[in-house]
Amino acid sequence: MERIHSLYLHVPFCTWVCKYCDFNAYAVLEGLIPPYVDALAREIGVACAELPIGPLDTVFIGGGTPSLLTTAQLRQVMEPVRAIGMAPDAEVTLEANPSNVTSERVGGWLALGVNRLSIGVQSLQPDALRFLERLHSGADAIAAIRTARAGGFSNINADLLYGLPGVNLAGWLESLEVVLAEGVEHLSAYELTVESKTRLGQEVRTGLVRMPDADNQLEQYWAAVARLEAAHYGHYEISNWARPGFACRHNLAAWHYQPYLGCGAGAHSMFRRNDGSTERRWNMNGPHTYIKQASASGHAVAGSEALSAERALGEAAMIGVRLLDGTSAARDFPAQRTHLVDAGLLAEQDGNVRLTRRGIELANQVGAAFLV
Amino acid sequence: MLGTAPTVEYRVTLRNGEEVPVDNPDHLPSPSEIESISEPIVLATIVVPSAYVGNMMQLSQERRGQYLNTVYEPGDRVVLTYRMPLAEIIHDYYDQLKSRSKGYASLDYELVGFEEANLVKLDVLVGGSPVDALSMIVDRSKAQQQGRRLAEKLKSLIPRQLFEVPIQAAIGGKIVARETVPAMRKDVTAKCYGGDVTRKRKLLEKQKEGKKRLKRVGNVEIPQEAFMAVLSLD
Repeated sequence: MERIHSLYLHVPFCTWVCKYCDFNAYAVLEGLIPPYVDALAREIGVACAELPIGPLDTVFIGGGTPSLLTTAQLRQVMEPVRAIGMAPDAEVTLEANPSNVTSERVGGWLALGVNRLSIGVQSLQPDALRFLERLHSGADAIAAIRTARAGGFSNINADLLYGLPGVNLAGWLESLEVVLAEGVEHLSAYELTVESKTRLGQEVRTGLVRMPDADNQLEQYWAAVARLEAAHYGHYEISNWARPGFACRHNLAAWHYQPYLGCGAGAHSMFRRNDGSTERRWNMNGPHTYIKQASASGHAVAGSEALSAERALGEAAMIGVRLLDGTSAARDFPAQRTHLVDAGLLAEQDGNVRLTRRGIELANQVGAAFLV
Repeated sequence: MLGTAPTVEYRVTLRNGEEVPVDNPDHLPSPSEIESISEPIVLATIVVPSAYVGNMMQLSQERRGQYLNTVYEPGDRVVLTYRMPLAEIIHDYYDQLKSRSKGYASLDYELVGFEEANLVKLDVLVGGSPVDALSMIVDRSKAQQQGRRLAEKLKSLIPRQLFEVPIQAAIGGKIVARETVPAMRKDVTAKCYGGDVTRKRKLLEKQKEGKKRLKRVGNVEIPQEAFMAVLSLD
């Protein structure tokens, strides 16, 4: 098995689960975090004894809201992670809700080796934050960025959402501008996606909420692309921008089809066998069952699938084309490549291919072409 | 499996005097070679309660029926007789007959011969390519209207593709109707991280599986239902 250098840790708790969210997240239940942290630490410890892993190049602690953990709880999680061994320049990301970013916590995170903070700003428009059910204000989010900066973070990401009902192009660019003024190193801008099994999905189905149409969504997207280019951010993935040297290495590893281990409720792992085949497996979603299983055995795998070498190549190309500097992952699909180039969705570049502007708008069609 | 419209056998007299049977619109000789076309005619007998006589007459007239006779029988039964082209009956005439008489009407018909008619071939071009399975032989007076309705129907049945798809109906090379299926505007997932990959791949695989059921004509993928559209134009 190919050696693993990336680790994802999932913390599925939130103070409030926003109505658009379909991640594996649960409103925090009193008393559940301590046994969850115990179970997570156990799972990490067992996995590293069984798998060829480390030294770690990247660690990503996502959620949910991992910034809800106390410093002591995070330390408990980081102990078995450090035991795996960390590369000297390892990237360690923590996702944070603006409400939790205090100077005490920032100090604790840095002391535990966290060196990249991803802050869920989402929007700076008061109406939009209310609509999204965020519990923080725009001012809170900006204060969180400043607190992280003042505390010593030199690699900060802001997550933003566009294509929100009631926010026009000017409103979206205003949010973007305010965040840019903070000099964040990295920016993720996601189109608000309506997932059917969320309250937003229900509201859209019943007609309570009307989503902007595709033209409006794309207008906001391309306006952000232009603005961020002018601000010298590299657009390296469909929804991700970074200052030079600040692309998220953890996500890049996954997009380059490198193996990773995921621990925690609902976390996914990807392993590469020596014969080119891929194994994906995922943990139980529910925190109660996860705690029970992981603390008893150190395992909480709910399911897995094996992809033949051929299908793995297709999956790698499906993911790889999302990287906008171009990918070599499509090299094994000459016929599809030619077809997509002819259709104006891909462009050839130094032997690689990259999405054209139209290709970005239809990226799923491009990705699907490589699935055999 | 590709279903095509049921059709009748036409007798085509060529300019050189030869008579050829044609049962597939696509095999119709070019208009310049054709002297005349005859189509099979039936004697249709409709038995219906008197309350629905008006509906039956209207339906039969829409289908180029030539009224012959009405007989009132005991028990509120009316027997209507029409001469009609067989081609007008085989599509959904019977369904219409039933639905416009609340199920009471019955139909019987027998072939009585062939009769010259003013018929033309209606061609359909999708994305610029003629689609043989969509062409039909129709009465000239109805051809333009049929072409328009067929194009509209196909527009609603052909899914958006990567590029704009023109749908044209043509008679002897002259376009009589045009609709356009706009290009797909957007199909992109905002987030695709490690945990999203399996779900996303399965979704795309499922969409791809659905596409396999589409028939490819030139660059355009056409669903089976579109080929059935010619059956239910009325």
